[in-house]
Amino acid sequence: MSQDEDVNGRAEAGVKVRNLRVDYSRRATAAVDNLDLDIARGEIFGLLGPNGAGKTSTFRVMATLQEPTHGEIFLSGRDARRNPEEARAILAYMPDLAPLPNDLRAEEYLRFLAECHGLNGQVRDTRVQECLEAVDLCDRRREFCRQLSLGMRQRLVLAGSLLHRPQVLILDEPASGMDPVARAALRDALRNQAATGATIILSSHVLSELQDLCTSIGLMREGRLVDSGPLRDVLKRQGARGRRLRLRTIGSTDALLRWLAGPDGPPHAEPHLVHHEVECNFPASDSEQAAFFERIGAAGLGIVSMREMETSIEDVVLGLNRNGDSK
Amino acid sequence: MNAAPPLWKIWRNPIVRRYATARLRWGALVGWSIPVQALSAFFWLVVFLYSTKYGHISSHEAAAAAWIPILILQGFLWIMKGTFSVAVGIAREGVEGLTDAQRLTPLSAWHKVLGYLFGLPILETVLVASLLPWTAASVLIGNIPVAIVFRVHLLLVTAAVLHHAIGLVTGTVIRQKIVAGTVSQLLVIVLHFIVPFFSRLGAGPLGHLGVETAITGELQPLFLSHPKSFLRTVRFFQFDLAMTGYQWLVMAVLLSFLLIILWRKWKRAGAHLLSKPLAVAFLAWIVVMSLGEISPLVRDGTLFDPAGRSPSKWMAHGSSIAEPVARQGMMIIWAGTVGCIALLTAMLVATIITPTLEQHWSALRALRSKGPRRIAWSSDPYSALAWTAGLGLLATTGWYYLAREVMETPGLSFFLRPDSSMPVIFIAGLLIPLLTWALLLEWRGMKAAFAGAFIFWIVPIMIVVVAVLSGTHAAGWPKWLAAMSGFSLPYLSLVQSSRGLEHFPGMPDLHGPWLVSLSAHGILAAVLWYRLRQARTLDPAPAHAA
Repeated sequence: MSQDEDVNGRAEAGVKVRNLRVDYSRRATAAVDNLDLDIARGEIFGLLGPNGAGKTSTFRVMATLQEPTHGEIFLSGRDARRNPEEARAILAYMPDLAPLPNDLRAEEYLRFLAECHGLNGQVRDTRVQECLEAVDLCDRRREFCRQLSLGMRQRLVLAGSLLHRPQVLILDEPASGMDPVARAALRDALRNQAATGATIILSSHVLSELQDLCTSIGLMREGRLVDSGPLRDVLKRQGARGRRLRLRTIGSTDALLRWLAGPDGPPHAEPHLVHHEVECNFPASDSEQAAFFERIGAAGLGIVSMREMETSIEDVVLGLNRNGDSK
Repeated sequence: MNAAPPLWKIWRNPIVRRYATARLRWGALVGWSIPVQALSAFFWLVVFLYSTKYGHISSHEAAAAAWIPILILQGFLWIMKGTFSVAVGIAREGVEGLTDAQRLTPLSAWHKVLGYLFGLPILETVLVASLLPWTAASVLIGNIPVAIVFRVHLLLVTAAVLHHAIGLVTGTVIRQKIVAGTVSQLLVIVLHFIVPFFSRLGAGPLGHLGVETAITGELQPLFLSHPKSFLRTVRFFQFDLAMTGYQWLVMAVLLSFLLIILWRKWKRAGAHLLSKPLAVAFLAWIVVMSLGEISPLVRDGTLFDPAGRSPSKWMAHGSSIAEPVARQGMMIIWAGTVGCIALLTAMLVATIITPTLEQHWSALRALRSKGPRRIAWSSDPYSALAWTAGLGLLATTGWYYLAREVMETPGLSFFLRPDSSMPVIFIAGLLIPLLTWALLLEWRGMKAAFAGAFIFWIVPIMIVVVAVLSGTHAAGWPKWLAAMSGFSLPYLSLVQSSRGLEHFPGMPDLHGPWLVSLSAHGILAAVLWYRLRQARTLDPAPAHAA
């Protein structure tokens, strides 16, 4: 039986989290509340949620930097709580604006990290070269870390994270400070890493990027995992709860807005103008949608087109924010 | 992938190599080597040439004498500058978040401890090594026995590593570069220049935290035909031990405790500096060392009369107090101060092992998920109250032993005798203020405990000192106010359990203040205990708040 298989010979999940809880004080609070996660190998998993949802606490606990109140964490089959040193050998964590030692040059820093991971001699030098190439920093290798721009520092930290070919890569806001070219390089590097079977977990406030990159996502709010799964499935589920319609009229948009906000409109419609069109929420089933079309046709509002908007990650996260605020 | 290098191969430790790369760049090395080599050459040659030309001593002795400034320079570089570099370096790593990054590497906690311990002061180590040719010149020209060279360097290396470990703990705990660096330098100054002064007043073990005495003892055979034995041996209980071996052992034990502290912090960032059993062992070690070194001073009468410079003679000088009475007064002050220091030491160790309420609640929640279990009695989140009581009893034992020995030693004590109630009164006088402190600490945290101790235990004494100096009679309200301080209780307890005090002219009656202070502290402790018990309970279903 390989280390990556369980007693039944089944492949272990890349990351398995069970019943994870993180507290910071007695009454107020569970920053992370009984979180369960299963992320397969080779997945690029985006953990999303508004500020204070518990993402960073989850990341720090998974990265063995913080003790949870309770819970179990398995990284590629290794128990991260019981054997943190074993887990660290296959783990890389890149925090938001990760620190770098200003007294070392870029290449010296990577050599140091490689040695910490047990790479020495020719193997170390080759790997350092590969990682510098992966993040396009070969021409900056002799510069001190303090001389690098913010984006370059982030790329160097990413190179350091890739050095030991981690099986689990956790990135908290990895694109901070990166220009579009560097972001494209980051996406390529992460896709390549995932293609080797590594599990990648990341969060970012640039949601459109996550949509391009992630194969699955998890939504967190107030410490709880609200939804998770393959990207398309989550968007479908979340979209069904809050579909949006865009309507064009040759009549008065004010009249249409009033009608949608009134008793004949769908509940929680929140109608508003977008580029001379009216957009509203439509939290209802297909049959209710058919009935709505009949009603709005009969109202004589001059509707010339109705489009159902595709749900994006941004809509889902904004929806999470709205739900949080309304609570 | 290769495994981490063996622990003993320090030069292969990645952290040592990282600092060797960063701190041993040509610019820094040359920049530091020029003044260091210039100074060492200057001092060595000045001492050697002056001694041979004007001191009328042989070139052998002159070369040996020239070794001393080299040792002082090595000590300064390694102990002062090295400790500063370590404290500032590790504090900076903590502030910048690099220790978190280091935590993520799969090196063991011991690799990290030794890596930083030997890596951070690597420039100073190289500079010290660069002075070895001057040492070699002294050894060869001065015919210095290899055994002496070995023992001196063993002491120097151990002291340097010990101080670097102190710097590492300081920087780990304080986490502010400038403060950590300043505190580390103050500690070095205190250990080497201030503490030796107190060691002559009966705080014997403190004198062995610096290496000057032992190194002086090692060097004196080079210059004196009849070396002074007190510089070569230490009297420990009834044993005469070699100074070098004894001092090395003291430093090695202290270093072991510091290394354990660092290992615990690398293993788990939120861990207490020492586990509860180790904290007890640490205090027990301090108590045994203190008793072992002080009791011979009591028995041979040198405690209050070091080299004939008796403080009691000074007290009696120019006053109407007879010298024996003054000596008995000194004895009371000394024994009360020992009690006060015992209380302070126990408070300090208790602070290390006392959990916060957050730690307690977190442990309760973790256990709740596993069913009905209790927090392990020796774990960090377990209440430190019982352990603190144990620490208090240990400290009281040491205090009682010394106070009794002082009062029962013929020639030292003329009319003071211990009362049979002394053990009980001592336990109450130390344990009650100690537990009051520990309860406040556990309930409201360190800031509140320190603020409380300052306002209610120190400020009243300051007020009394000012009042008495301004002419207010001490037997009036000042004695009541002073008694309210927890730090007064050891003195009051001593007075309360001693017989023969009527020989002191104008001695105020302290029974009332002692009883009131003890009762007040007892009631306060009971209230704090009740509040702590309430605060410790966990809400049945904690609500979420991000």
